[in-house]
Amino acid sequence: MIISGIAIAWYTEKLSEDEIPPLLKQHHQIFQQQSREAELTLKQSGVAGLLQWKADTQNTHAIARLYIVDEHGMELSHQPLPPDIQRFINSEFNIHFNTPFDSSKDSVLGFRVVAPDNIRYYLVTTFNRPHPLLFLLTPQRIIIGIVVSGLICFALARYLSSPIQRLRQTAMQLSQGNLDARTSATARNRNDEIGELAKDFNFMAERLQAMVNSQKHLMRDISHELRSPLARIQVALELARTKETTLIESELHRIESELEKLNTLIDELLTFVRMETDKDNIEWIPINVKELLEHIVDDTLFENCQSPQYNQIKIHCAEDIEVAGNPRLLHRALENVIRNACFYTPIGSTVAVTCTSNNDNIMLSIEDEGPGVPEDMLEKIFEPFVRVSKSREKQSGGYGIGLAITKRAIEIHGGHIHAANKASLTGMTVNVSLPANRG
Amino acid sequence: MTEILLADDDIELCSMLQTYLAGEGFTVTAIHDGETAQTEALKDHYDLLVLDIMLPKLNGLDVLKNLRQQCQKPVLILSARGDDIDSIVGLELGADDYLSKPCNPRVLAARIRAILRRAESVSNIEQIEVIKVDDVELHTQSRRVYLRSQLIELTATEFTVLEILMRNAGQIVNKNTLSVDALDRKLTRYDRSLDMHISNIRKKLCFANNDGIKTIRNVGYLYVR
Repeated sequence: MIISGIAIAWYTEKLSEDEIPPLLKQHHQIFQQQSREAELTLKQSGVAGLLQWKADTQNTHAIARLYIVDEHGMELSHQPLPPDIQRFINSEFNIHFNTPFDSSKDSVLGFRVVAPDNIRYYLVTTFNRPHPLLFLLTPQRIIIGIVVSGLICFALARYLSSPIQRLRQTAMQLSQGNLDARTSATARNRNDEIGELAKDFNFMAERLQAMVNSQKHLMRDISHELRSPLARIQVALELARTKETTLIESELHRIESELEKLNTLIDELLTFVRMETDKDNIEWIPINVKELLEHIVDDTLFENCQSPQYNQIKIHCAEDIEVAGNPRLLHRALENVIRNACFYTPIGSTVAVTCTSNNDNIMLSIEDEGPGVPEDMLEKIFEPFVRVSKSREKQSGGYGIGLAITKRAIEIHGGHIHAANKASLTGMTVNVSLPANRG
Repeated sequence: MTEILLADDDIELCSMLQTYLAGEGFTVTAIHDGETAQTEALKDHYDLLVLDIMLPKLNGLDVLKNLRQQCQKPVLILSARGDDIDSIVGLELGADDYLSKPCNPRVLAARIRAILRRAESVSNIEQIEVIKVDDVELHTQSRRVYLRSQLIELTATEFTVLEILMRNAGQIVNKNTLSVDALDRKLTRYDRSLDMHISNIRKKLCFANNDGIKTIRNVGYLYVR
C-alpha cells in the first residue's frame, strides 16, 4: 500500500510539474471568457453597462464573488471587499498597476479590462479551490491507482498466504496420520513470522512423531512381554493335565479357553501396531475380489454359522474385479466386517456382500439386518476399544480392535471405509472403497 | 529315546517344556543363547532342534543359516506370533516347519513327531528303491537325491515333498494333499510353508521358475516329466 501510494504521488507530482491543475485551468478559461465579455460591454455601454453586465452575470452564473475594481482599488458598486480579495489587490494590484494584469494566484483570479478611453478596470473573482488531494482524483489516475495497488496487494497476499496454505496442507497430512509430514525448506528459511511458524510446526511434528512411535513401541513391547508368561501358563496347563485331573478338568478347560482369548487379543493388538510400523514392507499382489470374498464367507460360515437355520451370506460380485493389495491383510479387514454383520443380523436373515467397480475404484458394501448403531457412534466403531454397548460387545466375543484393524488395513490399501444405518429398514451398511488394480 | 535340543531364552519355559516333552517320550536338552545353540546343534546325538528366533548373542535365523551349511538336521522354528516374515525367512533358510509362540505344547509335540517321522531314515513303505525322472535320481531307502550323479543336500521335509511329487510325476498333486502327506497337517490359508519348501527344492535342483516343478495356480504342483 505504501509503495503504491508513493508511486501514485510520484506520478501526479510529475504531471503537475508541467501543467496547471485541470480545475484551476478550467476556471481560468471561463473567467478569461467573461473578462472579454466585460471589455466588450464596457466599450459598448460604458461603466453603467459594465455594472449591469456584472449584475446579469452574477444572476445567470450564480457567481457571488465577482468584483470590478478601478485604478484606485475601489469597487465600482461600492461593495465591501472581502479580506482575501483586499489582500490580493493590495499585493497584486500595486505591482501590476499600470501594467498589463492577467494573473492568477491562489483562489483569486484577476483580469484587466480596458475601456475605450483607456481607463482600466480590474475584474476580480474568487472561487473555492478544491482540496489539493482532490486533484489526484481524475478517473485516469484512479484506475491506475487501483490497478497498481491491486497488483501489489495481490503479490503481497500471495507472498503471505501461499506459505500458510502449504502449512495448512502439511497440517492436514499430519492430522490424517502421515507423521512424516514436514514443512518445506523455503517456508522454514523465511526470516519472518511465517518462517518461525514453519520451524515450530516441524518441531511439533517431530515431537508428535517421537511420542506416537514410543507409544507404539511400548504397546508392541508390552504385547511381546505378555506372551512369555502366557507361553509358560500354557505349558503349565498341559503339565497339570498330565496329572490327576478328573476333578478339575472343567476348570482347566476354562483356563485354556481364557488363555486362547488372551492370546487372540494380544495377536490382534500386535497386528494393529505392526500394520503401522511395517506398512512399507507389505507385499502387494493382485487379488481377485470374488475369490477373496468366497474364502472369507466359507470361513465365517464354517466357524460361526453351522446350524441350518442360521443366516445366509450372499455375494454379488463380478468374476474379474481385482485389487492390488496384501491378501492376508485384506482378508482380515473384510472378514472382521462380514463376521460383525453376521453376528448382529438376526437369525434367518441375510447378509448381503456387494461389490461393484468403475475405472478408478472398487466399492464393497456389507449390509446386515441387525439393530444398527446409534448415529453418533458410526464413526467411532472404527476406533480401538470403542464399544457401542457393553452387552453387545460381550456377546460378540470381540475385543474392540477388529474394526480398527479393518480401518487401518483399508487405509493402507489407499481406500476408505464408513458405516451408515439403513434409512428405511433396520440394519447397517458398511461401505468400503478401494483403488482399482491398474496392472 | 529321541533327543531334542531346545534353544529358547526363557529358562522357566524351557524347564517346563522339558518336563512336558519328557512325558511325551523325548529327552530335551535346553540351552538359552544362540552361540551355544550353534555349537550344540552340530552334535550328532540330537535328532531335532527346536529353535527360537529371538535368542541372545546370535539370532535363531543366523544359527539356522550356519547349521544348514553343514548339515540337514531337522529344525523346527519357534517364531513370535504374527511375525510372518520370520517364519518365511526361516523356511527359506531350510527349516522343516515353524510354530508361532505362544503355542500349545500338544501341538509342539505333534509337530516334532511329524518332522521326525519324515526324517526316519528307513522308509517303511515297500516301494521301488530309486525314482528317476530325467537328470534327477531319488533313492527312497537312503533318502538321497542326485542331480546328474551329484549328491544334493535336502532337508527331511524337502526330501519328502520331492518324493511325493516325483512319485506322481506328470500328474498334478493337490496342494492340500501334499500338505497332509508331507507336513502332516491340513493346508491353512496363507500358509506359505509348502511354497517355501518347493522354492528351496527348485533352487537346489537348479530348476528355473516353472521348469521341473510347475505351480498350478489354486490347485497344486506338477512335476514335469
